[in-house]
Amino acid sequence: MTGRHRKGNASPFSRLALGLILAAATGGCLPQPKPEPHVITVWQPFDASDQAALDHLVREFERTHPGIKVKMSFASNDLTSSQKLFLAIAGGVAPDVTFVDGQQLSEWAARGALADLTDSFGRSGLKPEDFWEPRWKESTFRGHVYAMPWGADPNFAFIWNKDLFRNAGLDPDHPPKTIAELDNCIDKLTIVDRQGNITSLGLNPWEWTGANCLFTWGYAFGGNFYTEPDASHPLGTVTADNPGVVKALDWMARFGRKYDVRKVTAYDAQMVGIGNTPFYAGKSAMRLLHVSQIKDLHRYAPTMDIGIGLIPAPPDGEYPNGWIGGWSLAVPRNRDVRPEAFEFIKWMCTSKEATDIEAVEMEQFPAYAKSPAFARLSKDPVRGVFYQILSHAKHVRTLMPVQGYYMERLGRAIDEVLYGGMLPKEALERTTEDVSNRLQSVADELAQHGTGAHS
Amino acid sequence: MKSRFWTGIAFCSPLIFGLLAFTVLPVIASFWFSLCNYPILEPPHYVGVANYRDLARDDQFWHSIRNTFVYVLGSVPLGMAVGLGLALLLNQKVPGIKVFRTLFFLPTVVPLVANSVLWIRLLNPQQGLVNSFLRLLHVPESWMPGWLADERWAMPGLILMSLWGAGGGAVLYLAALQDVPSELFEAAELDGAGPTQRFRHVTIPLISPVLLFTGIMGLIGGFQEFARAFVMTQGGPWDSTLFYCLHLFNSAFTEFRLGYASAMAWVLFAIILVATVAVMRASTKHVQYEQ
Repeated sequence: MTGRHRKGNASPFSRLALGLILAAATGGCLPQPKPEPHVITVWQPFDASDQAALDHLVREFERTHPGIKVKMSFASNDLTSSQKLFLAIAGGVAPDVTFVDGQQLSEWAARGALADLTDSFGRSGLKPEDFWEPRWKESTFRGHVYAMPWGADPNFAFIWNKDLFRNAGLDPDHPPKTIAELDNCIDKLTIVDRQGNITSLGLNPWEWTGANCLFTWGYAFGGNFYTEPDASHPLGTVTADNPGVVKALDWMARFGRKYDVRKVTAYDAQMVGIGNTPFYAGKSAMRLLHVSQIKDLHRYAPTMDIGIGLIPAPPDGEYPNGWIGGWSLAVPRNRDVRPEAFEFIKWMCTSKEATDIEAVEMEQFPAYAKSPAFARLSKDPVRGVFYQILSHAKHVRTLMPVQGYYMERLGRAIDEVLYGGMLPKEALERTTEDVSNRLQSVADELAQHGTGAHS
Repeated sequence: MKSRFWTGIAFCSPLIFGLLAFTVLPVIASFWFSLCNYPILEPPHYVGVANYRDLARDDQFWHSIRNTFVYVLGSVPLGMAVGLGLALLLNQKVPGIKVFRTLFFLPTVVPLVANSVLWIRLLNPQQGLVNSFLRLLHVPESWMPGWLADERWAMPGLILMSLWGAGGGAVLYLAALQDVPSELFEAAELDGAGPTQRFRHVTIPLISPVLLFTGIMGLIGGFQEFARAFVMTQGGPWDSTLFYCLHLFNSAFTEFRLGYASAMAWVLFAIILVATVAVMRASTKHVQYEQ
C-alpha cells in the first residue's frame, strides 16, 4: 500500500524536472510574447481641421514601422511662445518630438530648448540641399542642426477679385505689379460713404497683423531685417532701419493717413472667423493669401472669379518677392535623440507618403525639395504661383535668438507710426536700438553661462 | 482627544498638501525667482534686485500700470453701480422675477472666450450693436467711438464689456437687500423719509459690508485683468490695452524673462495689498456691521 502510494505521488523535485522537460520540449510551439513596441510622444500645434490628416500620418507611419507607436497630442504654439513645451522641458517631461516654427528655432536653440541633431542628421544620408534653402537656414543655429524642416510656406500670394476689378473699370487680367499701380487700384476699388466709413476696400496692407505685414512689404521694398553672423557680430546684426523697410513702413503710413487706420481696422474687424473675411464676402478686392488658405478659397468663395499672382513691388524693390516660413520637427532637450524619434522625424519630412499627405490633405508645401508632390503642385494654377514664390524666395523672418522680442517690437513700431504719427525712420531706428541691446544681453548671458547652443 | 486631532489632520491633508504644494511653495519660489535671472530653460541665477531696478526703467511697465489703473478705476465703481442698480430692480415683487434674475446672471457663466468674441462683434464701430444704438440716439457719425479699432476707445470698450458680468455682483447685492429688515424702512417712512433718503440712509449702510466685499474683490480682479485683452486685443491698438498681467505674461513666455516677470508679480502683489488696505481703512467709518 505504501509502495503504491509512493509510486503514484512523485516528489516535488521530480515534478519540477518533468515540468522543465515539458517546457523545453513544447517551448517552440507556444506563442512567443510580442516585443513591446517603442512608443514615441509627439506634440503638434495644428487645429482640429488638420486632425484627420495628422491621424492619417500616424497610421501610415505605424503601418510602415511596425515596431513603433506614436502618441501625438496638441500643444499650443502661437509662433512666439509655447508655455506647455517650455514648462515640460524645464520639468524634464518633454515629448520625444515637437513641432517648432522656423522663426523660433534660433531662440529656442540658443536657450538650450532643443537637442542637437547634427550627428543624427549626418548619419541619415540626407543633405542640406535636399530642402528648400530658406527652410534649411531656419533649422540650423551656429552651424549645428536643431530640427528638420517639414513645411515650407511661401509668403504670400497676391489674389484679386476679378468682378470687382471689372466693376471699377480695371483690367482683371492685368493685376498691379508695382506699388504705384497697386496704389491706383486701391484708390479705384476703395469706397467710402458720406459718414467716412469704408464700404468696400481695395487692400488692407496690414491684414497679416504686426511684424508679419512689415516682413512682407519690407522684403518687397527691397529691405532686410538682419545680417548673417560674422566674426564681430556672432549673433548677427539687427537692421530694422534698413532703407527698404523704412520705405515700406512709410508706404503703409501714407495708406493709413489716407484711409484712416482706425476706419480700415474697424472695417476689417467687422467680420469674425476664418470664412468671414471681407475678401470672401466680396467686400475687399485684393488680399495676401497664405498657402494654407487655398482650401478656404474653395470652401468660402467657390464661385468667385479670382486671379492669383505675385505681390507688387516698387521698381527698386524685389520682384518676385516673398519670404519663407514653416514648421520643423525637433527633439526637445532632456530627451536623448531616440533612433525611433529621429526615424519618425525623417519619415515625416522626407517620405513620399508623408509629404503627399502634407500636400494633399493638409494643403501645405513640403520643405523637402525632392518631394514627388511638387511635380503636381507646380502645375496647379493656384499652387503653381506659390511654387514660383518658393523657388525664388531667399528670405526668412530673421535668424536671431531674440525673435519673439523682435516681432513684438516691430509690431509696436508699426503702431507708433500708424496711430502715433511717429516718423517711420525714427520708429525703426528705435526698434533697431532696442532689439540690438536685447541681442547683446542675450549674447552676454550665453557667454556667461555657457548654456544653450554651442558657442 | 489626541487621536481625533490626527484623524482630523488626516482628513484635511489633501487640502493642506494642495495649499503647500500649489500655493505656498510657488509663492516662495516666485520671490526667489524675482531675485534671479531665470530664462525658464536654464537654471535661475541670482542677480539681487536687478529685476526690480530694470522694472523702474521699463516704459512698458509704467504704461501697463497706467492702463491697469484706468481700467480698475473705471470698471470697479461702474460695475458696482450697475450691479446695485440691477439688484434694486430684481428686488421688486413683479411676476416672473425669478426668470429675470436668471437672465441677468447668465452672462456670468458664459465662457470668457465666447463672451470676448461676442463683444468683438458688439463693439464693431460700423456694424456693432453698441454703435447702432448710438446712431438711434442720433449721435453724430464723427463722434462715433471706434472702440477696439481706436487706441482712444479700446480701454473704454473693455470697461463697458466688464459690465456684462455685473449680474454676478447683483446676486450678492440682492441677497443683502433682502436681508434688510422691512421695519427699518417703515420707521424711516413714518419719519417722513422719501425713497432717495431711505436708499441713502437705510439701504446703503445696511448693505455696506457687501459693497466693501465686492469692491475689494473687484479691485483684485481688475488688477489681475488678462484674458479679455489677450483674446480680444493682444494689448493693442498701440498698447492701449496692454494690461499689467499681459505685459507680465509676455515677459515670461515670449521674452524668456521669468525672473523679471516674477518681480512684476510681486510688485502687483504690493499694489493690490496697498490698495486693499487703503480701501479697508477708508471704509471703517462708512461700513456698518450688524451688532
